[in-house]
Amino acid sequence: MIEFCHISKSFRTDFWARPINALTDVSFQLSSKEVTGFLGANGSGKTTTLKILMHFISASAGEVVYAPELGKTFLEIVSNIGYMPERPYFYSNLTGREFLFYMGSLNEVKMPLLRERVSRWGERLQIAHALDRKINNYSKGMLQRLGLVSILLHGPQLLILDEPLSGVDPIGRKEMKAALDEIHKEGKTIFFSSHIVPDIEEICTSVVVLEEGKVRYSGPVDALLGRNSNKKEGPSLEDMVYKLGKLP
Amino acid sequence: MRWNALISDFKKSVVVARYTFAELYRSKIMINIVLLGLFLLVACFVAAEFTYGVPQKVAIDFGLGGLSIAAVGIALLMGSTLLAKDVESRTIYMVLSRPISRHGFLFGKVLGMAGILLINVLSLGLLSFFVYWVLGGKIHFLFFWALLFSFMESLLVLLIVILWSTFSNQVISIIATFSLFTVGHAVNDALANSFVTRNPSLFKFAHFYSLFFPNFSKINIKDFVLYKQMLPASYLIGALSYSLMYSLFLFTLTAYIFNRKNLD
Ligand SMILES: Nc1ncnc2c1ncn2[C@@H]1O[C@H](COP(=O)(O)OP(=O)(O)OP(=O)(O)O)[C@@H](O)[C@H]1O
Ligand SMILES: [Mg+2]
Repeated sequence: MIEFCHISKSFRTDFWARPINALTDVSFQLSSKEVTGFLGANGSGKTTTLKILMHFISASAGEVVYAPELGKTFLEIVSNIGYMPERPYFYSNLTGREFLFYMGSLNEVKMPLLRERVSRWGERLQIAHALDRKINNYSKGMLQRLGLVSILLHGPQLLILDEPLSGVDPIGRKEMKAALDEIHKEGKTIFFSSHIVPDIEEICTSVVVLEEGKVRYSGPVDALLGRNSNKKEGPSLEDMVYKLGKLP
Repeated sequence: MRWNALISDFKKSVVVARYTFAELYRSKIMINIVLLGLFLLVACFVAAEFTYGVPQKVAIDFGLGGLSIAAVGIALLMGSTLLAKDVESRTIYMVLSRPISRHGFLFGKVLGMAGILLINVLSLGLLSFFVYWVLGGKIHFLFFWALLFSFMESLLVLLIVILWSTFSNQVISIIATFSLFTVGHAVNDALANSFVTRNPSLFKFAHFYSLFFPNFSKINIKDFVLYKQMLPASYLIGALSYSLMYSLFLFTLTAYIFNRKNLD
């Protein structure tokens, strides 16, 4: 669905300082209708990769290729994507509902349908009770839930989530994971970053492991663990990722 | 095809404008306007009490001066934080990951903020006209031109500070814009100043400046309003077109930069 081809990115913080290489020759593919986890330690370049994917920043080298089914122009492509940034904060003086209507209108979702989806997903993600409150009173986890609702309103083909589970309580994580699973079963593609291995192990079919801006592994979770998909024993993903990190 | 895309982008700009307006309308900025309005009202009456001669003129002087300061101040505050605040809160990512172009987003933001400026100019302006009228003054049609020009003045300030904020931080943007604002108000005076006219290179510089940099004195008609001099319609139309063209130029330049900017 999306292919990263030899993406590199360096940041120049100061005129005289040496540029930081955030990404080096990153190549991998996102297969459609799969849940792909994007695993990496703090500062490994996950957010940078997603920002390049969304055209917020430009890559120093390489390109991102979008499947034709997503659309021809970037505006078309983006209308089939739901993107949630890390630690979203949003507008403070709007109510949750207003914010959702704002986002839905930008995606040209018509009013009756928009209303229906807001209440459906609001209920599903347990945020409906707070939708008429101003966002500046929301807690961290509530903002994450609101963010997730906001990117489901237009029924996107592809969800891109930057640490959607961080700051969410255990029950919330469970609900969000169940919701993501449900969306996956509707035939949607999901790509989400996390540094929490069990979360990825639980719901992902594929995984991309990033370390210091380089791709360490990309492919099925099961292949990484060296086990059959129906036999759930063997080493945990956590051990495998740890071993990957130790390679020269 | 292209027209459809343009219209749909414009519609989304209007959506952005609507929610930008709603967001700002409920923020502290509006409380400031209300407080300033009340202060202005009291100041008008007090000042009028203490003047011999023409108390109404004092009211209008205070009113137009005060609303201009308020509008420019609000424009500086709103414009200088537009991009920084949206990037910091990551709202900009939520919006730009939807089918709207970057310049469409920018246009919507400016439109929403212009709405706030308009409300501010209208409410404070009509308030001071009312005081003027209560004190026995006669409303002149130039008053309304003065309001329109105050609005254009604050719009220009808004666009200048947004342009600066695309490549520098908030403090520098505000200082630079305020300098341009101050110098832009003095340009015409400088061109008429005998010291400048006698010095050819200085005159050339002032002339050059007024050609390319914003000339705020062109749209400052407060003195004319105050002394009830007539202004030819051609001047009014000319000054209005100047401010509109300059705004368009500023917006285009900002959009060009913003379309290419890395948002990190
Ligand atoms: N705007 C920037 N200017 C300079 N360096 C940057 C910038 N953005 C990111 N970096 C650097 O790029 C590297 C990757 O950062 P990135 O935010 O992509 O990491 P991450 O994998 O998302 O980490 P986390 O799990 O903490 O969110 C880091 O070393 C970071 O310091
Ligand atoms: Mg990150």
